[in-house]
Amino acid sequence: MATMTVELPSVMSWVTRDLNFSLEAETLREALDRIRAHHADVAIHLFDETGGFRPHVLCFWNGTNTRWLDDFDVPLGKRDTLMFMQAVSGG
Amino acid sequence: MTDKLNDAHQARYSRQILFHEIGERGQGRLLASRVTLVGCGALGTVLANTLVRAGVGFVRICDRDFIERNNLQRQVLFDEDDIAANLPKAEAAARKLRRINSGVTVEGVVTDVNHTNIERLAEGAHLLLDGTDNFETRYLINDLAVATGRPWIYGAVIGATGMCMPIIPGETACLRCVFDEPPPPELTPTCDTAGVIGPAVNIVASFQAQEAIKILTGRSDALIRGLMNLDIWTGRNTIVNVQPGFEKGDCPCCKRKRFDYLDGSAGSRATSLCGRDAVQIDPRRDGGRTNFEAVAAKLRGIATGEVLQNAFMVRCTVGEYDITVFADGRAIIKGTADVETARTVYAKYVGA
Repeated sequence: MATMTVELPSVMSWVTRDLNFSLEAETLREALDRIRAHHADVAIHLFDETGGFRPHVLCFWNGTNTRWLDDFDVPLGKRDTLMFMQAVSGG
Repeated sequence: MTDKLNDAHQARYSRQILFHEIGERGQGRLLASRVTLVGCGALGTVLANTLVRAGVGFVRICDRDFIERNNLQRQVLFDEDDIAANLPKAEAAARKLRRINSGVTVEGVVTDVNHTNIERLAEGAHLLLDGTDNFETRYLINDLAVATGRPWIYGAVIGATGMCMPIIPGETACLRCVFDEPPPPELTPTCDTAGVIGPAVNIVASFQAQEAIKILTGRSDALIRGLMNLDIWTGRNTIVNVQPGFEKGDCPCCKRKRFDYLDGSAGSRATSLCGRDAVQIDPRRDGGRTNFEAVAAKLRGIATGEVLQNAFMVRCTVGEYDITVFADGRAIIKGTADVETARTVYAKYVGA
């Protein structure tokens, strides 16, 4: 099982102090499922009621926008990263 | 656009002309260019300051707000005298900028930019600039830019984080290619709930200004193509390739030519409630329920007294306003009958 690093945007520091954490998963789909299951305080900001990404959230798997992936059942490597970005509204 | 400079221009802009990516030709183009800046708060003041000093020939500044003392930490064009004079931001900025550069035209317009007036406010502009503080106005700017084929530059900042993206309609991804819908207001912090630091504002707005100068000097070939995500505090800065969203996606705006915010079919509605000294703000969300936990968490940091919450609403007092947020996203702002004031309160404390 691969260990993946998850990076949350610092704009989410009002939600959690753990902006970086690790999780173990075999596939990208499993990693996302684990975030939903074990990080509920964070997940509500990343995923909508159907489990899909919220429209203002971008998720990058090793730098690739997951929105353009055909399939999330891709095997994870040892040093994979999942980086989330969230649209910012202030100004 | 002309590239013939007189002696005064040569002297005033000499250091910028020496930068060979701009040169005399670029400076001439700047002097002949016109921009409309929507919003003159933190990002907007830095943008206006930079572009007026750079010699952009005509700058129209649109803003609906007045200056508050807590603005002075980061809104670089304002000072304590402006507050004492009760000046609106657009007017205070225009006065200051005319003293900085009398050789260009600066127009301050005190108004709420919305779908009924944005086309008029942007008339003649070669470029639209984002200095606003809410998603709705950004989607409106995006609609107008795509509908009229004019570039605009998205910029936003919160805490120590910011984003910047130049958008060339028909060539690069637009805002809705990247973020096709704005988030529910309660799920995103605002500068009034999460704070914002001056360095982040200056850096994000400076990137916006830099990209603006490239476009206005005819150097779009040098644009940073992509979404800049800047985390000033940690130094974790990235440029994300969003072009697949434009090339492969089914963007409602630039592919399907739906201009929901420009035609007024999307966006919030505000109604002054007769005789109640209150305004109802309806963000017109499609079926989603308000996340009361997120609303309450945000309000607890700023409320005067207790934040009341039940299955139907979240209620609290912030300063002179009573704020009640309902499950369908509507809010009633009590303490004002003025729609623009209520919109501002909602954007600040509930979400933007």
